[in-house]
Amino acid sequence: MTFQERSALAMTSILVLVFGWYFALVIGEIAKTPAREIAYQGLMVPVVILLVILAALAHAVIAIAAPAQAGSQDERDRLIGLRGHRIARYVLATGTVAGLGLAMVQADTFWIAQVLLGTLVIAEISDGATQLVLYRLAT
Amino acid sequence: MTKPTKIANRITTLRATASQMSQAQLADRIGVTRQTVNAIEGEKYSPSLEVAFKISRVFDVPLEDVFQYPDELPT
Repeated sequence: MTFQERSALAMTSILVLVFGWYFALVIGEIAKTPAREIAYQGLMVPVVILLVILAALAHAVIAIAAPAQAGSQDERDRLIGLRGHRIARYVLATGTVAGLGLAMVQADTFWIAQVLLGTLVIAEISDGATQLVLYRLAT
Repeated sequence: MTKPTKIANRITTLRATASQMSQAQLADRIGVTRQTVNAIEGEKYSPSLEVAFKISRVFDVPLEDVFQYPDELPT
């Protein structure tokens, strides 16, 4: 695996774990509390801090495991990265329109925030997953 | 989603004749990863012109001795 492929694998796994935990907690609260009363803002900050710490640790481990490759990127890595970003762009556009739609029908801020955050997360996961598939296909 | 390139190549043969040069050694000399050399050799990735020229210069042969493109394009 190249440095970039390991990085994509680490980031995709971390995103799934961290935001899987976040959404499980937040969605779990809906059954017990009205949406507008759920204090999701207080959970978003620690989740983002956890994400940054895990990402930094994962990249440090990847770099230590293969110091010569650390941060290296060649033309194939860039091409695969661009293809992943292109898929993520469609997801972002769709989610943004969904968020705008919720704002237009005056949905709770809670739901607008969850849709926008979910869109960001799914876009990043789509980006990483696309890159991993392309690396495995040896593109 | 991914289709193999139509560009064929003789890199495996050229590496074997060049003192059994490894994929990693070739990758170091042309500035790409070993995985990229593997993908080029497996005809799953077409390199840029710049990398193609670098490969031909490593083996000291003309570009068309390394890469070949079919004469007839499929209709």
